[in-house]
Amino acid sequence: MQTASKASGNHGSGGLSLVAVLGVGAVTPHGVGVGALWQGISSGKTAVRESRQSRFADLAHVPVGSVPESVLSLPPFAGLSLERGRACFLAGLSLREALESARLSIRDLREQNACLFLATAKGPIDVFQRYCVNSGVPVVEEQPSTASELAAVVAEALDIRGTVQVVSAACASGTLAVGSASEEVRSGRSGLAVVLGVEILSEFVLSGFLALKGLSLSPARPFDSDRQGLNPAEASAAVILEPTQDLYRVRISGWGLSNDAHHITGPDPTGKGLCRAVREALIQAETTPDRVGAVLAHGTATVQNDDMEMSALERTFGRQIPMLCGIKGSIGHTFGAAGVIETVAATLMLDHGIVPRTVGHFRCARPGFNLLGGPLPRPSVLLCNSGFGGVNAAAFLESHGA
Amino acid sequence: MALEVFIRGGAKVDGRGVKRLHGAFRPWEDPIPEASDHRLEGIRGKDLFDEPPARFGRMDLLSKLTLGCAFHALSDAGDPASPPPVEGIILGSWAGCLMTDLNYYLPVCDKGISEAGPSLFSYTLPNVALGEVCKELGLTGPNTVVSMGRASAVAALVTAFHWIRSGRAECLLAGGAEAVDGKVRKYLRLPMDSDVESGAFFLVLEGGGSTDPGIRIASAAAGFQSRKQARLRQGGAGSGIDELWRSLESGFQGRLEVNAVTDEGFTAGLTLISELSDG
Repeated sequence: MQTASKASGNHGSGGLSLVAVLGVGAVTPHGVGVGALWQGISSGKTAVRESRQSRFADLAHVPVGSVPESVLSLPPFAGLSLERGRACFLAGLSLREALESARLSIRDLREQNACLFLATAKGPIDVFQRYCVNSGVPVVEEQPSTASELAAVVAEALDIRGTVQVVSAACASGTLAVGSASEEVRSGRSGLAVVLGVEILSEFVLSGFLALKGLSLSPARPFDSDRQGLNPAEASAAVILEPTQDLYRVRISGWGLSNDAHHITGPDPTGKGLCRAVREALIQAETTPDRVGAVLAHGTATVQNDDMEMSALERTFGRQIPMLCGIKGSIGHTFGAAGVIETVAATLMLDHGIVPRTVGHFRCARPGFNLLGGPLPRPSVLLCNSGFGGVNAAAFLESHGA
Repeated sequence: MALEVFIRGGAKVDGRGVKRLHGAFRPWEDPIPEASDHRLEGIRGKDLFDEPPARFGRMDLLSKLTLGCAFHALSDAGDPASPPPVEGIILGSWAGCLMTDLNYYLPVCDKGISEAGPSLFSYTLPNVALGEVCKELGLTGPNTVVSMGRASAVAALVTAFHWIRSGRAECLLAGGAEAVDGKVRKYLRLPMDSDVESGAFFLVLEGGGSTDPGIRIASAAAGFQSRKQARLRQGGAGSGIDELWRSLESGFQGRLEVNAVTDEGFTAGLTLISELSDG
């Protein structure tokens, strides 16, 4: 991605500004780089494969999205090595690409009083699992063993001096982290924001979703009438935000956050909760539903989630539902990191002016939904995620001329 | 015009009982059955509520403490006939659902995948505690868990301050909760004499006009410093919450600075101004 403008350095001005996406990075089951991610999601391919090995027979051969093995031999970024844990290492790879695409150095982050928001559901779960398997043998000092420690290690590596915060809102963490970080930049508290999403595959999460009967035994089929569940996946993505007055390629113009107040794991089937978050995002963006170019939905491919989302979209848009797209059939569900990866994907959609066809989707049970992809009719994308705890988050991204 | 952020009420739950900011200390009426590490592990619905939520017994400890404390904070902030218009909740937690994670996964490692319980797994995300609160108290607005080591509770207040000032919400519950037992202490490598204990603390924050009486948060900020600096400054982490609670309870006058600095380098601070005597 090209740089739209230099870091403007208005930190401390106190004035409200626009918030631009300055750089993006990703390492996903499609490989390293946002190019590989775009190639994967726009060419109709799925990177979901049968898992190879597990200590538990029930978890072998479950379809998952894992980053290619070759990624693990890449040089680490800023000391975030594989020895410090898989989450740390993958985070480093996405951060390197995001900073390079933003043409920023670590020194810039310090000088611009950058903040860091980490979105994750289970953080360094590999370190936790090892601890449990080894019957409580103490964790290695150099390995972050909680999400807080992971955020601190990354902040130390990037020489961050602004707010450093772990955002924990289940599968809505990523979109909320983007929203929270945009608020830091908009208000002038930080001159730059680093949003990092990271999730790694774990037997912990696989065993839980197996117990909840939420796993699909084939590649996931978002919004399809025959969808059977989700594919757990791992990935890391990073987004750099900067304040700008009018020069930007893509900007975060609004975000919203709500709770269903309905059930701790099952979504409110009416979609009212998600609709509230979407409306809040659109109101902040000073726009209306008819100005939305496309919706990049959560689309986990569980029966309940996708039903709820379609209800929420019908509630928001009436009969004029924009083109709908989901990427979890292509890379799997990366839980807490999903919203950051989808912010990267939405940025790429705006860059290319294209809505990818939803991989895994063949037939929709409800009328009025178009998941076939095509040219983006208006330069804006609505992003939404929902998660356990009844939480919903939405963000609205626009490119110039919207 | 910048909105002022006022503290309308609050509550604290710890091993000894429940204390509302504007109410008398309520010790646990019946002794809570002693559990292995900490007596709060045996907390029952009737210890916290006159009419406990039906599902209380099935919740994890983080959810029980968060829900109970949020309920008392809300009750403290207004009479039942006209409760404050709370829209959402921000929870700061360091250990989060670590106790539940260990309770879920250690048996799976020990005995196999048949031990993976779907109900317990549902609580292996800290914001599920907020799902319980939102459902019980009917909150449909902003809700999240923030984590910044031991500065998490102050960080939640900082976040709530900013969200009210920016107009994202008018009234929020914000504070901290920790569910800690011997297993959690061991995982976090806490020393035996660590003062990190199970408990919860919530304040009701509401936007208001600059001439309103009461205790207001004048400014709030969070940041990060290198580990070396953090350790030199503090020699150990402080959550800042005990100091804040004592000052609020004693009805401080004038200006109060509350700062949390952690071993990892997280910092979070608040400046409070009390103008009670001036009306």
